[in-house]
Amino acid sequence: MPKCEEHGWVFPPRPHCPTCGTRPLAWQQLSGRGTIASFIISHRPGMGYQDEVPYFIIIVDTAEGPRMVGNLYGVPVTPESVTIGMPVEVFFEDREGVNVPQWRPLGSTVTA
Amino acid sequence: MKAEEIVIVGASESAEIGIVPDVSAMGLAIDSALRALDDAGLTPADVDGVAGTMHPAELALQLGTRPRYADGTNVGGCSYMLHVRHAVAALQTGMASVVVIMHGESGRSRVGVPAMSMDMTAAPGQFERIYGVAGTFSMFTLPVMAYLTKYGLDETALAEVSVAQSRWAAQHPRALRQKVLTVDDVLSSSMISWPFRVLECCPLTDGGGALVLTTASRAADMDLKYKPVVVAGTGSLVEGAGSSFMEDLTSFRAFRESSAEAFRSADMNVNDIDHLMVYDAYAHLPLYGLEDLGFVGKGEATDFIRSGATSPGGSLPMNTNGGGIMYTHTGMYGMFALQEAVRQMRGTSPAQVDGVQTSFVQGVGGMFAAAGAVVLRQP
Repeated sequence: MPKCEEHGWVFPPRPHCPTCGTRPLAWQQLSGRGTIASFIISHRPGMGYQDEVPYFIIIVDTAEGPRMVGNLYGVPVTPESVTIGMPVEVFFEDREGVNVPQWRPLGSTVTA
Repeated sequence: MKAEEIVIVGASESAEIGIVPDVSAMGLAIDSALRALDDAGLTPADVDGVAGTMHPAELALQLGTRPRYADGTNVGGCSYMLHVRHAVAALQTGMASVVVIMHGESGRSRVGVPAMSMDMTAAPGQFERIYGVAGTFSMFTLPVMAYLTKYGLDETALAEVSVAQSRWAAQHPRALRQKVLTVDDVLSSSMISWPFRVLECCPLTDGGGALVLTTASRAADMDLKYKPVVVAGTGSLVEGAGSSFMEDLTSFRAFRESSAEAFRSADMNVNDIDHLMVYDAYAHLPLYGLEDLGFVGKGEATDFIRSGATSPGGSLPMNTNGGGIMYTHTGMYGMFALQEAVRQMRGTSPAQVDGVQTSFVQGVGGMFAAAGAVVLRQP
């Protein structure tokens, strides 16, 4: 993720710092950990998700701060499986040739 | 020097709304515009300003005018609140003398509009929609669990919004959903995007609406069907691209700031407001709206609605057409919220509230991306 030395992480990624305009920005690695900030369970399939309903769409507060959207894997798809603040970790899933960040409970080893 | 008062002298929806398979989006807009002009005894030849989310040049051509002033602002469903705001400035500075704001959308029947597509190139496309977002119902709704959890609320909070609004919709013959609902009715309707059931989501409909604005002095010379409605104040803010990019998932900054500016410019506060419209594409928006506008404290909106305060006979009648969820939702609902507010000010709503002196209309655009507010008062 791009990071401005003075103003911190920039997400969604932009080539410049939205606070001071500095460019270019160096990309740095995040810890890959975070907590669930919010979620819904989609009962209507989005593009590429025809065979997956119902599924979680979640917002993650990364440990470093920036907020990211993703899917949650590794738990039954019920409202009871998730609490706000639940710790999660990232893994990467190949979706039609694009490597996208995804989320699973901290310590889980599922890969989608 | 005090700026001249700007008034709404024409307001109309299209002849038909709901499911209108035989009229194009443009047709719905122009039908509404001609009806709104008729309120003020005007014709297209009198119009020198046009605004809308459709291409202003196309709107002007179809209506039959060569306007000096054109506004194509499109920040989603609250764009019409911004069009009102911009029209006020244009009329006060002489850039135009009669402005028509038009909306037409064939959201359901898709007549005269390109096929729906999702932009996957912009930030929400790349970082939100790729995760199986099938529609606004699985992204606009996403922050709600942060809100409900923060205030110890459950799924019934959302159902209460639909229940209260169904009581108003039942009085509107043009509402798409007219049945008075119970919490059980709402919770047992089909699941769309947990915790949202279908009766907590807007339907997709066809329809149009238009407003005609001019200066108070010009209005005094017009042959008006209804007394003019004064635009007392306006506000707007563009916050960002999508719901996960909100600064705070439990409160919408653009609601807070646009409403504060509207109150300030109208020299009013929440105690001055008789009637409220809060754009409700989904049932959580009136909860955020009531709190962010300052009508209730944080986390108190559900109890307020459950108490009947926003229902018929309550202290703060809200979404008196049934809202976007019950009345109609073409895609960009903001025009219909404005139309109901004007009807209440004129005394012509099928769900008329007695003695409405002021109305506050709060719109949202995109998915928590922008907001626009308009305060109306009697002359």
